[in-house]
Amino acid sequence: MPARRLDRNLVGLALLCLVLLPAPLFLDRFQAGIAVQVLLFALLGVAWNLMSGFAGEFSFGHAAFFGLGAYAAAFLTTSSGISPWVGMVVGAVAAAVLGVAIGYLSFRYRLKGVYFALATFAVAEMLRLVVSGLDALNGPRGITIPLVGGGSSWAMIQFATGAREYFYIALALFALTQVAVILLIRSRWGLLILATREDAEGAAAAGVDALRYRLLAISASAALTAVGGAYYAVYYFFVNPDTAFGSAVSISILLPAVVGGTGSLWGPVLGSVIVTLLGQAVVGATRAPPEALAFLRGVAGLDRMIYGVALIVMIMFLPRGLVPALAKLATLGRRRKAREARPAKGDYAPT
Amino acid sequence: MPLLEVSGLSRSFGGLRAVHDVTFQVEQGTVVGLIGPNGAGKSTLFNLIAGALKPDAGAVVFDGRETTGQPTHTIARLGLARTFQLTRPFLALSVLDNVAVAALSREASLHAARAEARTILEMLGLEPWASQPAAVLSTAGRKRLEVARALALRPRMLLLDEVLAGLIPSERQRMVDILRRLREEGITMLFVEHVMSAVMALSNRILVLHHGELLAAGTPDEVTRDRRVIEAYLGEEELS
Repeated sequence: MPARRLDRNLVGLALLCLVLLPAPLFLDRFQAGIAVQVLLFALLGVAWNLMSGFAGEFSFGHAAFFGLGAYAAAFLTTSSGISPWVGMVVGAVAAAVLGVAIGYLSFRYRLKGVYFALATFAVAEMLRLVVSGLDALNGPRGITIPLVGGGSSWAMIQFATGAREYFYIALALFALTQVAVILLIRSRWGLLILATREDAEGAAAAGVDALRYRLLAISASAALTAVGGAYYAVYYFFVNPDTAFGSAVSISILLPAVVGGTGSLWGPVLGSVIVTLLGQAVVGATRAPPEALAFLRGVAGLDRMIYGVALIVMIMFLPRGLVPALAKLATLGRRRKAREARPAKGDYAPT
Repeated sequence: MPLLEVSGLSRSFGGLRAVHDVTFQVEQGTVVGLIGPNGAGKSTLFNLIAGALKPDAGAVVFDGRETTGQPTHTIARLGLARTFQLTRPFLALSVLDNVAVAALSREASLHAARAEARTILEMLGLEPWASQPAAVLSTAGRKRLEVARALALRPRMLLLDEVLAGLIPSERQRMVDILRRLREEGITMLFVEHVMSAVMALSNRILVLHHGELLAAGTPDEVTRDRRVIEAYLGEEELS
């Protein structure tokens, strides 16, 4: 065996980043905003997928971790002028601790499947209500991050609206998240996480401390999600209990992975591109519908409905997500080609 | 000193005494067959020894260490490896990685664990499927995979739960050959089996479980002549 082959997923990620480096030169302000959104939800989808796709613990409450990151960054910046980079780390640590608590308690009380998902949902809701009632965090009004230092500061992650720095920071955070997940999944720990997902009892009989690897996956997923939350807070200069801990946030986080493919390294990334662009397209189309559909103009909530139907159709036809479906198609194609290439009976290929 | 000492082990489910006051020893390097009618408590006894169930009373001592109530993975790492009657493969993982998971309990690197797993797959004739997902394996293949995974722990003792059940005769012969070779290598075994020819051929001693209690214990000859065993399990025709 050669020393150690470079993982092709890492090579792919490096190429993707290289291609995306000049992107801000070609994007206008509006498009740059969409690009940041794609990157942010790719990060969140990849993080969610680590726990729910690879470790098999479906989370319906990732807003809990996201919100901790968002509030840590917003609160520390606003109250004491601490850099949101620090807030990001503080939020990540807090989220990891919360993840360990959720993972341990659900293991201890044998919460599985739907019940586990409901428990994560309950935790996020609980945090939303608690934060809404905390005057120190400005209650339901949320926290607005003030502009400091002239509005262009790496330390405070504050730049002019649409500045390319936002794009590059989002790209870097996404890339680091993806690298972390690739390295983890390809490692011995990753194999043990997958084995625990496939059959916890079988894994235990094979000498695997299933709880340990479950907690590892949950806490890493939680910490990375909090990083995304912190970025969200500084990007929008604002966070409140609903945009941090609301159930809509949990759904937005799991959607890219569910559409793109849970348990696949690139599924959530492709999913984020599709979900975000689809959302934008639907909003655009309903705001300015073509002549024939002019009567639809101004119908409230129409974009949400169309968006929802499109997602339902997508999930109905590709229940396992896009990337696994494509992979299956590729295998079938390869097999067909191999069958055609195989010599007929009685033929002898010259050697 | 025996390798495995089970003393006074009991476990009830509701009002049902699945295993009641079972005591026996397994000496290092011997093969012990565990037989008994369906529902006699054989699998429960296995689960109690392997740590998958906690006993109501009694103790299990493996290799001089009390393992009663220890978690399954700890017991597995001590060198007491089990297989499941209903196989539990990691379906989405490759056959090689299924075994590598267990090898990781001793090997520090994934690379070394996979190398170790490959030699075990070769020994059990699973090598051709190494890179395929375990889901493609037939029942016979999955039974062998169970044994492969247990062996990857480099166990001092194997607990085999009906590894011959559901196999056609040619597959069965192959598994018996594998068990025979493991016996020659000096691996201690306790195995539950309904296929009497295999039990007779492989065992140094036989334990008979009936209604959760130990009905008889002895050499294959002694046990097959025991009236109570014939009535409870073997049936009259086995005598002739």
